[in-house]
Amino acid sequence: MSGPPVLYHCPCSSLHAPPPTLPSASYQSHPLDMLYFCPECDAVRCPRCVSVEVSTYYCPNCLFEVPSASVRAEKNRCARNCFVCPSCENTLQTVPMDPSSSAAAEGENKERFILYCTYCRWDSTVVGMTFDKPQGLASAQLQRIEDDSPSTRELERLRDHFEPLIRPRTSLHPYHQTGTNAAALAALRRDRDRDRDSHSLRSSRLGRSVGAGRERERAEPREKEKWEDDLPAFRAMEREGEVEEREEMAWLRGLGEVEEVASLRQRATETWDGSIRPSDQRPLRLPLQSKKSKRCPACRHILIRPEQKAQSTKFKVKIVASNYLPALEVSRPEDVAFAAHARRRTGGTAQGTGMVEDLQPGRTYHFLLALTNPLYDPINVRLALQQPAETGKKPTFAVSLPTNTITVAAFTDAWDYDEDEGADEDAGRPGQGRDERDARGRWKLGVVERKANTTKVGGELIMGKDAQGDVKFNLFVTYTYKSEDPQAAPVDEKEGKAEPELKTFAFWTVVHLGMVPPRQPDSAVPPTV
Amino acid sequence: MPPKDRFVIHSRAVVCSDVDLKGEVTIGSNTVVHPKVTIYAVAGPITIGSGCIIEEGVVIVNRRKDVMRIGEENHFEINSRVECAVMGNCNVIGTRARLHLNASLSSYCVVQPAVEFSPTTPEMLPDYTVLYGEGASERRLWSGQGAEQERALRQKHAEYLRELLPKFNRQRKGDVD
Repeated sequence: MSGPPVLYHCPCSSLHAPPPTLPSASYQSHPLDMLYFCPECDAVRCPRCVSVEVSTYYCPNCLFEVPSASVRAEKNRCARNCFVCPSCENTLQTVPMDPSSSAAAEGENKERFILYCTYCRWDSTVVGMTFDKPQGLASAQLQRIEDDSPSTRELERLRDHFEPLIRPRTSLHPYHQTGTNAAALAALRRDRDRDRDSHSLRSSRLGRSVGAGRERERAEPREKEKWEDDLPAFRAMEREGEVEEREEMAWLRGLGEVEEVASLRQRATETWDGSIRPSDQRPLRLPLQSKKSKRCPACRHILIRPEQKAQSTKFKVKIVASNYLPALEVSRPEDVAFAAHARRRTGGTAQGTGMVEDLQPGRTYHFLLALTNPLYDPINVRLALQQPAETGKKPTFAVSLPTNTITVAAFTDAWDYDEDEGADEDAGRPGQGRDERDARGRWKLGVVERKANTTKVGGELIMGKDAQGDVKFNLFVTYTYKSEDPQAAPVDEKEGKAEPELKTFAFWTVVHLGMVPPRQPDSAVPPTV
Repeated sequence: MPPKDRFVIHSRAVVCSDVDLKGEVTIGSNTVVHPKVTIYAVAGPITIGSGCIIEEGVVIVNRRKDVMRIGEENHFEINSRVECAVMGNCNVIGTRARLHLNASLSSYCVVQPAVEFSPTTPEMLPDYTVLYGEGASERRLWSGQGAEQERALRQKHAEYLRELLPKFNRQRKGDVD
């Protein structure tokens, strides 16, 4: 029975963890398995702070690796034979048509092909698409339809329109593709343009608007002159939108069932102007996916690098925090008994927050904190609670945890564990409720169980009378380990032997212990019959 | 009182001996019944047409007094459960799909894998209906394109099974030929 995961704080936003009750705190802490670790900087990195680069584009269906040069030309979609079913979003197959119908359609003895969905049995005859050959459908045949669509033509026109404006700008600034903040870049560009004498610019771009405009232009402030170009106003292509709309309205009026309209999801996946009639939905080329490599934002050290091949799911470089930081897991021994009780009461259906009992104000609870060591050397862990901030508000609960150093055994391969570890004096079985208490029958604050590379410590939670909401607290974890890094460890020439240096690493975590249900008025209690 | 067992199996049908039959069951020619299939005619009799393929673990139950008529060349995939009243021809019941006794299929219907179709009132699905999505949430009519090829494939499939199954399984014969 474990509750929600213990979240680890990433120092990218602030060095110290904010009080967990703040709304901003939830964005700064992440589950351990989402974090990376930079061995150069010796720091935790989170998905929010690493810099991401695309290493390959590939089609998830045919696993073809698309060279990044052609990704843009192919509009980020597979240009081979992969299509998405417009009805159920499955991938489509290319199949030959039935001999009778293809002969009837063509009047000749030639095989024709259609796209066919094996799941919902949609096929491309619905939208009147048949193909002469089963290969190269996307590039040869669908591309033509796509390029002919009004929205594509409109975009092309827009691009043509702005081309003369964009080209001189981009060529002036070769660094525009560094991927940094676009706003900052624009500001830079403006400054640079201001410094530069604008004569050449004017002769090339503004010079075309000769005559009457020039007098007015000169009167305008210079800044404005830069940005108001002599481009003619863009006029959209003629669209018979009104007629279409009226037709659509008439069609909608005649509808009987809501299913006859294409769902919002279907229309959202369609390209720009999706039809509201499901019968008009065309198959789309399958969107490409990418493999991304991730770098440390500070030292550019690679943290994640996937293998280049699309078929492979392995990583060339994978430096994740779970290989460096001890894993923390919190559980409440009462939950085991509670879950069994809840199962009896509700007849097997789990209710509420995943079998975890709600906390009640004014009570004392016990919990176990399991520390698991991923390193090949034993580590010493110290736990420290964050002192409550000086907000003047009294904390509604108090947590006590052992403050002494806790040793967690090294991670070894499973078959190396000794059986006699169970005979450790302070080891016991949790959940039995016997060994977790000391001689006087009190809850033991300290190491409760040692098993392999996991050590469990007991803690205590005292709830205040007016406690409410989530009960979570910041925990500062410090651990010392033997450094294996030969450069970092000072090699003692005098002693002749490199003494492994003890290194310390510390990080913040957020431990969630449970929730106090919002107090209900007495009338809300269902009457017992 | 449950009806007396009476199995009529066509001489050209292949029914494995490890099949659980109960009640009045008639199996047509060229039909293939894999091992571990359960066919219970609990109340009324069950009549299965020719050329059907009934795969492992399929359960066919008739809880109604009327005859449960299953047409020709239907394909019951593994572990599907069918209690429907009437079934036409050339239907496909996907793996682990379930059909309630209120449901009836016409011809060329497709029930996709793991779909549970249990209408509250008796319902007859029209020809070329596809049931898919979670809990038969989606339904559409397909164009029938590809049905010929599918039919040819099913006939070949059944032919292959009729050849192969008797080599590795004991066969069961009906009470009367």
